[in-house]
Amino acid sequence: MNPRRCFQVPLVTLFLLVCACPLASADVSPGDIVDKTSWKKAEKLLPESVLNWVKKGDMVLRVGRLAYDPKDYFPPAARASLEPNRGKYDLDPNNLVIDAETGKPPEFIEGIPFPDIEPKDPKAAEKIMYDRMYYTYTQGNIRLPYDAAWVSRNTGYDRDVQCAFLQYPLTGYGPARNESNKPGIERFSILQLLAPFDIAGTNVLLWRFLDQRKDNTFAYIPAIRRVRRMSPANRSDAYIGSDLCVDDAWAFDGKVTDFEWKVLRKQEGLVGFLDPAPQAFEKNESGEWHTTRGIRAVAYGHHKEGWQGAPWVPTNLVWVKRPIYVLSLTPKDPYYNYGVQEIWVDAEVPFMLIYKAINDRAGDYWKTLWMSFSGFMSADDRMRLLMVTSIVVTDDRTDHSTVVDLANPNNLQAVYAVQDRNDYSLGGFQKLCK
Amino acid sequence: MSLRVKPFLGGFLAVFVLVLAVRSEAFFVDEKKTFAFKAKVQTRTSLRLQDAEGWTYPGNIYVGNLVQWRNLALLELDHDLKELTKSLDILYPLKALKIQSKYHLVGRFMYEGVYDVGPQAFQDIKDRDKENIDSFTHQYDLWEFYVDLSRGPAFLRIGRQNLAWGETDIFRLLDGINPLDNTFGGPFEDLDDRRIPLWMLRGNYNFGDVGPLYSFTLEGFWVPGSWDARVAPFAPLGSVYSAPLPETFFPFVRVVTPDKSLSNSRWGVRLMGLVGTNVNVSIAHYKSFLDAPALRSVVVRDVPVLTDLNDLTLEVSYPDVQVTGASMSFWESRTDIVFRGEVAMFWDEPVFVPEESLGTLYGPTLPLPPLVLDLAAEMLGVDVRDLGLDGLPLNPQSGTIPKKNILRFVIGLDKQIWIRPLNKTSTFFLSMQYFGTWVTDYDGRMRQLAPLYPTLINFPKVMETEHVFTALISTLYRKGTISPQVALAYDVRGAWLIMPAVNFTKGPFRFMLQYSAIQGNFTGFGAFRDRDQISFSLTYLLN
Repeated sequence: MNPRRCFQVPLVTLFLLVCACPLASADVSPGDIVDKTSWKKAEKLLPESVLNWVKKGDMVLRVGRLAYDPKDYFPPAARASLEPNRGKYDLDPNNLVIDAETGKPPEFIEGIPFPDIEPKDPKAAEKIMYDRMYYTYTQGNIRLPYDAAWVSRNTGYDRDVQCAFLQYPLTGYGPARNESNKPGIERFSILQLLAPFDIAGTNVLLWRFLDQRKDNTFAYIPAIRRVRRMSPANRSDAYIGSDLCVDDAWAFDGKVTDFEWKVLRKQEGLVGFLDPAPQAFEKNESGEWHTTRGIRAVAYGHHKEGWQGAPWVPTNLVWVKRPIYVLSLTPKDPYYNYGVQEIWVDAEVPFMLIYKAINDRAGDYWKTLWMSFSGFMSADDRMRLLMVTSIVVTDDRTDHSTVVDLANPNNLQAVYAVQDRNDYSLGGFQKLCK
Repeated sequence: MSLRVKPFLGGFLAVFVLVLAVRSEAFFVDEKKTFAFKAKVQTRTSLRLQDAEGWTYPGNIYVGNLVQWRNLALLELDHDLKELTKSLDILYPLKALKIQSKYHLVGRFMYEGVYDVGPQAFQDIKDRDKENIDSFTHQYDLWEFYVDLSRGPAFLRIGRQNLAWGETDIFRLLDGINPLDNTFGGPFEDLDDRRIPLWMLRGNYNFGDVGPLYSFTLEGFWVPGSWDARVAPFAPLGSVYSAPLPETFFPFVRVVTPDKSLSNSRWGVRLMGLVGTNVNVSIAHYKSFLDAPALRSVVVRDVPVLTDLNDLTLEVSYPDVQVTGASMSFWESRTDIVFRGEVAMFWDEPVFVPEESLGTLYGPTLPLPPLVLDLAAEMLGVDVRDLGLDGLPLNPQSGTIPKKNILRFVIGLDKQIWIRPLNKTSTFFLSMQYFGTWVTDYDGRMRQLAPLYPTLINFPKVMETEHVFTALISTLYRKGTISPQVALAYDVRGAWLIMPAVNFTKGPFRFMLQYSAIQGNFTGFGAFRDRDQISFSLTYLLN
């Protein structure tokens, strides 16, 4: 036997073994399936808690490619502000937005305040979060009906509540410039509980202020037939007993100034999208833009016969690699029920908060929130934006999840919604109350 | 099962089946989600945990007796007319004037079965007073029906509705517009379950930011007396939650409710707003009828001597009362407490002064020897000596209704507090209140309206100031499926109320277990100290 062949055989064998080994490559390509046998591919692309779900077999990720670029899906006003707002704003020592030139609070902010984020900026994380808030404000008034379902591993679907979220911004959205704003409101919002019967009619009105003042929160409680003033300081309290707390809405609905923020790193990550193609968006006769009944619905595990994974997991998403900032946030309130949290946010589209891994006050891991998205586009391509299509919060201690379903043919999500500002006054709020 | 029950149950079941049939549909009936339909059915059972005592009638109700079997079906419709306004010619004026409109409708079907299947004592009460008992044990009502019209800052709600003002829980101050149904539940039932909607015209106007005030709103209501002069129904004597009044009084009681006339209209005005964006304030004035009736003796015909008891009645009536008050609430950041306060002056509120209210018994008498009084007691069935008389009233006069200006106030605080050793995921909601009452032109002869057993005319004193403390604590466990709470009330004159309860949620079912107890002196809510009960309710939410 040729002596060189004696070495080549084991080397070739070794080479073949390495190539065959499924653990060899920590990256994904369109067409890959990442499941419990191939989780290593996504090792650096998912938070540890989510990776654990894949390892356990709870989740299966179908990696794909989008037919569009999410950063082309800014709302028109947001897109239009990217150039004029460059360098226009900054943050003061309290992390409130100020005019970079004058150092004072600006009269009005139109669009996204910080189009350019420098990761090394010590206030980069705060700026990213402001951009994310203002992205939603540039959509004008919004009306988002949704279902929130309680799902446990053993029994699957337990129960659900039907809600609607209404928002009326007084900043970020151009036409709001002409509205009087003596109290200094950043936005009004109303959360309506529509079903089931025992909680239907509960409405929560919120006034959020531009400065550091805490929110004004008023709740109409049907059982007492009146509006009750609520504390704004308990936003880490579980939302009607679900796995989310009040601040977990849309992954983060707190005040930026109530947390310490830090950019930990920039990396790539996998993001769930409803479909490779954008979904349809239509304008109604009132001028509102809304999703359509033809929207592709999210199929959760408990909907799918034969599904072996967790019942709360969306099973029909396409997973796409995106550039990500990983931020940490630490509550300043010593009584806040969460400890340090880690948020993954899309580096090109700040609206997309993708994952939030939540620790308890002792620093031990507790639960993870993650969202899926879709681009929405009108037939004439004049209107494009991104929207959240599902929110899943999984409490790994109790093996239970709450699923907020937004991509539902029965729940048309509307932006640039026609609303009456009076509805957000104390008197107008009575209209919503039984 | 009585004949009257059968059709009711049949109707109830028909409704139940109909609603079940639509349950699989979305709870919005139309695609545009303008027409929402909701329904629930509930059965509630209560067992007495204490023997009846004192003047509670009937007296043969014992521990373990069924005292409530209340069955309820509620169907609720909400219809936003925005789509119909576009297409329906008859609604064109709304479209032309850009008025938003919607309507709300609640059908209520209620059956209280304790007088049919409960202890014989309650069945006997029904046999004796069938019409009265049936009137509140079988109810089929268009319970609420109103239309909302709004345009910009103006809002109008017309129809049968509830309206609650003020900042109080459990007991009412400025929240005295709608009457409460006193025929069931007593102090153990939620206020809202007992609130009776009224046909009302109500509106408000948002003036926006005015000077230091934000969201400055003027609100008013009018309940035309010619349409609706309903008052809190007087629980028939002998019914489960009736006041402990001696059986002796029964034949004499005559309930007089306000007649349907414009002069018996309820009305009110309120201004509210935010001061400095943190303090909610309101001032209000309204006219209404109090739930607690006034009592006086009435001599029905002029006689020189009262020899015939048919000439005497005890009139239960509902004089109107005007109330002026103010309330405020704000969140204090350092303590994270929401403070609430309310003060209300009840002008010319009817009070009970035996010497005046039962004046017939306190005038001159024709003294009679004991032997004659014994004979009279046998003939009349009433011993006038028990009424404090030594003879027959001479030139008997009717009693009057004395009135006083009474100031009531409350200070409350609400706090959500973490007690992590007990609950790691949800806060405890703690609410505490102090209610004070001050009779500004106090009369030391003022009394409460239920006599102290075994006397007929010895009534508990009313003090110049009265004080009650309340507390409520609640939380959520197991993802909101278990909700325990404890409510407490303490009258400093020595009466306690405690109501622990726990609610369970399982799919569309709601289970509630509640223990209700009052201990202590016969004062205020202490008059119900022998009504301790344990209650169980099962509710099915159709959507």
